[in-house]
Amino acid sequence: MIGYILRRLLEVIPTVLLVLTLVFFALRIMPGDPAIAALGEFATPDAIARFREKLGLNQPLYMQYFGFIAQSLTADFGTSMNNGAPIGDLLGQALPYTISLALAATSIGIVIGLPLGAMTAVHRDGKLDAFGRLFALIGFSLPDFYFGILLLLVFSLHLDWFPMLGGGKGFFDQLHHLVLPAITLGLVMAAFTMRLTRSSLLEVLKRDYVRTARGKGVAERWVIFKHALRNALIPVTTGMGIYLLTTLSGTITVELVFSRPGLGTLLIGGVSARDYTLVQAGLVVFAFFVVVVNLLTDLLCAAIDPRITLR
Amino acid sequence: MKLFIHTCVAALLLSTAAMAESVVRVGVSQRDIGSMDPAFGIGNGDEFPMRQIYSVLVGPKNGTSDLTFANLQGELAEKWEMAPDARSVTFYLRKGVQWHRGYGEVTSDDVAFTIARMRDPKTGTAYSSNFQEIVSVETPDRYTVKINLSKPNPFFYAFALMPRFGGYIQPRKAVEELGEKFRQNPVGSGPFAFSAYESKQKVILKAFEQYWEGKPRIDQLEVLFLPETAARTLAFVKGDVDMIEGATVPGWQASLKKQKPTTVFDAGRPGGTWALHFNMTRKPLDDIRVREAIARAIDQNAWVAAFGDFVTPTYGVSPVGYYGALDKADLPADWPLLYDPAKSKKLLAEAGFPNGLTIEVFITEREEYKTNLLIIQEQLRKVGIQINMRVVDHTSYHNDIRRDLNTMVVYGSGQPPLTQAVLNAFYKSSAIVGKPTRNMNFSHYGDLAGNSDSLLEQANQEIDDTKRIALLKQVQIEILRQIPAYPLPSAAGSWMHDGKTLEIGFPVKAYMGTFTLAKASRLAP
Amino acid sequence: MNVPINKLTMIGTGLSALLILLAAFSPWLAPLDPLDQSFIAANQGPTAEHWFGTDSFGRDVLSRVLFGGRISLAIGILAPVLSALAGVWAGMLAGYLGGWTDRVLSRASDLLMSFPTLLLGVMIAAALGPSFQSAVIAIAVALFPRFVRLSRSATQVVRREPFIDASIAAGRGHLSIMLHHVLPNIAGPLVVALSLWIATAIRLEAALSFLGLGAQPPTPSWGNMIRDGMSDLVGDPWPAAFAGAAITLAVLAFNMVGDALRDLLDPETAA
Repeated sequence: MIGYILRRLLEVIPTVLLVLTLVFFALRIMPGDPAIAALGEFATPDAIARFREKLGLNQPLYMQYFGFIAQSLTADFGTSMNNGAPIGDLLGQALPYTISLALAATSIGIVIGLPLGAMTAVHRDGKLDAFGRLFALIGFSLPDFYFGILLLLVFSLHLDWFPMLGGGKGFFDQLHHLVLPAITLGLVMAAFTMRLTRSSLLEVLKRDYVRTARGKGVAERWVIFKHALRNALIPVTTGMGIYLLTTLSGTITVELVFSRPGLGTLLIGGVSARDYTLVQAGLVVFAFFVVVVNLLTDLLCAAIDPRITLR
Repeated sequence: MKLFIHTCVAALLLSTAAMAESVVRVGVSQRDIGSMDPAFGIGNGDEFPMRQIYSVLVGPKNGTSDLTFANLQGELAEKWEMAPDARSVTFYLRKGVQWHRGYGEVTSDDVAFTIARMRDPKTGTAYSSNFQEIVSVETPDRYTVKINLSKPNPFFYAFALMPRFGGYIQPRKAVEELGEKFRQNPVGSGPFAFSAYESKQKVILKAFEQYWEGKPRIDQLEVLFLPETAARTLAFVKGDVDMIEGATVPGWQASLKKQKPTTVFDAGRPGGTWALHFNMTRKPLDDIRVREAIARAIDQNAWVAAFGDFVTPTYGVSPVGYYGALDKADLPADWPLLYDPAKSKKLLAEAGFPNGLTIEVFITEREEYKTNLLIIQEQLRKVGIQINMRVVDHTSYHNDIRRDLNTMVVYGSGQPPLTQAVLNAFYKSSAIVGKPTRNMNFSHYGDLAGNSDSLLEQANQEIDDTKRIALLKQVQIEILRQIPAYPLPSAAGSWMHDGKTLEIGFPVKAYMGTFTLAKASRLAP
Repeated sequence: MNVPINKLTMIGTGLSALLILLAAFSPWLAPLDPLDQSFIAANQGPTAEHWFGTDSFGRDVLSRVLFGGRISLAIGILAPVLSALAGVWAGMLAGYLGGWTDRVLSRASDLLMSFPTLLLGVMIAAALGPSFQSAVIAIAVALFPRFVRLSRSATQVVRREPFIDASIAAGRGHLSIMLHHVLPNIAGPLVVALSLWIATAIRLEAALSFLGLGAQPPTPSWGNMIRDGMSDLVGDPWPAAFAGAAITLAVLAFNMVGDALRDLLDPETAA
């Protein structure tokens, strides 16, 4: 088990290296550089040249690239090219907000989506099913930033139940700030989970052993249903793992709408300031998330179903 | 629900005793702090906190933009005088002024250090050109500084020593001790001292107990980075912030006033310098008839209709209210920049475009730039000129216009309110983009269509005020007759505060980054 | 097949078709020029003259919503179709040939998947300069690995069928087999995915435009109308509200088509 995890984590290294390379060059294709972004409209060519020299941007590209890779391997993210702040600190401040948002949204997704999906599958074609499917359709169709704006207008501006800006200080305040963004992202997650649960449960329920049990009586049916749910959970877990990554991406617009600190805010700002070091580090963290989420998904599937072996 | 949540939060706040302090929150449109080191600060998001942290030797009177020497107000200096030949200025410092965080007294050595640092090209500041005319700085004692210039420049101080544009005095000890860290841990002598910074979120400043004018009445000042207009507006309407940097969206101010009647508009005047620069190396803009056709198709009244009295029409290269600016009465009878769409169409036909023409232009995503071009685009469409617009991000825009890549450049700049400053930056031949000394001459005027360098230099050095103003007006008419650019209406600095919660202490008629909140107070919790 | 599927299919298809038609014929349907500014008539809510009101430049919101549909739907349909053309082939190759081809293609698509979709869009748009084309490219690239994965796993299943080996034994070329045997067998789930990802692409386009990276002003798109409307959300929420409603409706319509198609292919789990 531990060997498996270690091997999986080792496999991450080439992926992360490729991400690093891609990001490194993609950033440098964009017009403008950190010096131009940082020095502003009054900058003279001389001042820009000096700033570039200080950041090492005057070196040949391959030198910069190898220097950067070497630095990355020692997990040294360096300092922001825009304002000199240590990247580690910037990420340390931002990450908890993004992670808590993604987790809260996922929790909302599970709490609403799983039971709703199970119930609609059992009461197939009933009123509840119709409601569930409509809910999923709408959840899928409402753009997250639009939904966020609506929530903000109603629950923050007019009703004044929730704060409008930032991420909050201290546990309760942070929780208070988390509610609306989490609902914004959680809706899609719930719609997704509901639909996935419903279809995979229906898939299992049509199998022979369940059909037989249905004919026999309530008690056995209940046992089998539990069994069926367990089986149905595997695709749901895998699907949600994949969707969690989409949710992570969704944090960008939601953070923007709610002026919330986080990785998305950090990266969007970084791109506009051509803060190479910041964007590079931020994307590596994102890539790392992707890998970890995939790994956790596989581990979770194995835990749910002992028949799955980890190779 | 609401009650419960509020009780929780209130309990939490009380426990940390945060309620006892008077806190003022200010929303700026920048994404993050760039630098709080005066050598590197740019934009309102940097300028606003820097103004609170640092002091200048002398500045315009609180809330005004008046740069006339006789009307200045002392900060670190209590007395100052200019030599009659305008080749030196002497400042006598106030005694006992303290640096933040125990860095000692502000002395003449700090002033000399600041000037040397800003002047040194190795520092890499964008403002070093403002200090190049200084040949030496004398510090005969702890409290006297004499600045000597290479040539007469009666407005030298207005470029180098004013709030914004790098004029803040910096502590030698702290700058040398902190090195690279200084930009994130600034030490000044202003009313508010730097306390904390949260990336992309806010900068927190605390009242400085030993401020020479006395401790400010506001205990804590928070500068929040709110780049999205919607978030900034909503937060202001709701009361989460007390002051914001406004938006350049037509009708925005009127609707804000309706939503929040206690809003006080702090219009910073004179406003920024805006112009549409024609790249005269590009066809068909090399043809003066085409340039005049464009100019004649633009009606500045459209801006007035959109923004009300927040904008004022501009006649010369600089907005009305700048030192030496052209006013309507100064314009000759046959002035080629006046709105006349019929003439515009005629000129286009003469230039060989009876069926109109298409021009490709790129523009930054910034609202104020885009809004200007959208209005121009629509007006030109009516005479048959199609503008194909491509929006790029702000950094790309700055980069690419300086590489001479655009055909027409919409540019807004917060220069010191002096016509000389505008002329130097946009119309001198050495300022042409693409040259090593380049600045913001996007039209190539000086190499093309005429050259006014010597007349401009004459105006720069003229000691007599009346003659200087006459010269400045003469240069502008000479330049604009060639239509290298079309001056756009000037938008006032758009800031607003909640009159119910915040009192600035004096009427505001200047840009927010030019005065401190040392006299401001919080009115309600 | 039962009645609800038909109903859903009909509503979804009808709605999608209607929206596409409205967008296609917007030059004839729009009551006013979507670019015409009028500051006297700015920021009006819905009136008899302007059914959806006017924006801050005094432009007619109904006309802009109609014209905006052209851009939003064009990008929303074009990007996934382009992406599918490339992705399906890559996925089929990977699934059919296996070995190194599979490893390289899978690793490449995993790599693309590890970028947050929106950020990928932001970087592509910043590098190419934001425009209609960059938006199409950004979304196509973002969806590409998803098509690869889907067609790869579907191909792997088909590849194990005996008739493929029989065809190989009969001496048919790989390309011919992929075209005549594999593609028709994996087409079902791909068509479902395509219609669902058109819905996703419309949402992505809106998000990119919302970040200022889609179609360029003054050309309206639903996303940039929301963005522009955001500036004066308190005073005049109408442009953003109508544009948002249009996006929701379009995404809903394509999702319904996708759902219906899925149910057709797999009636067991259908409603």
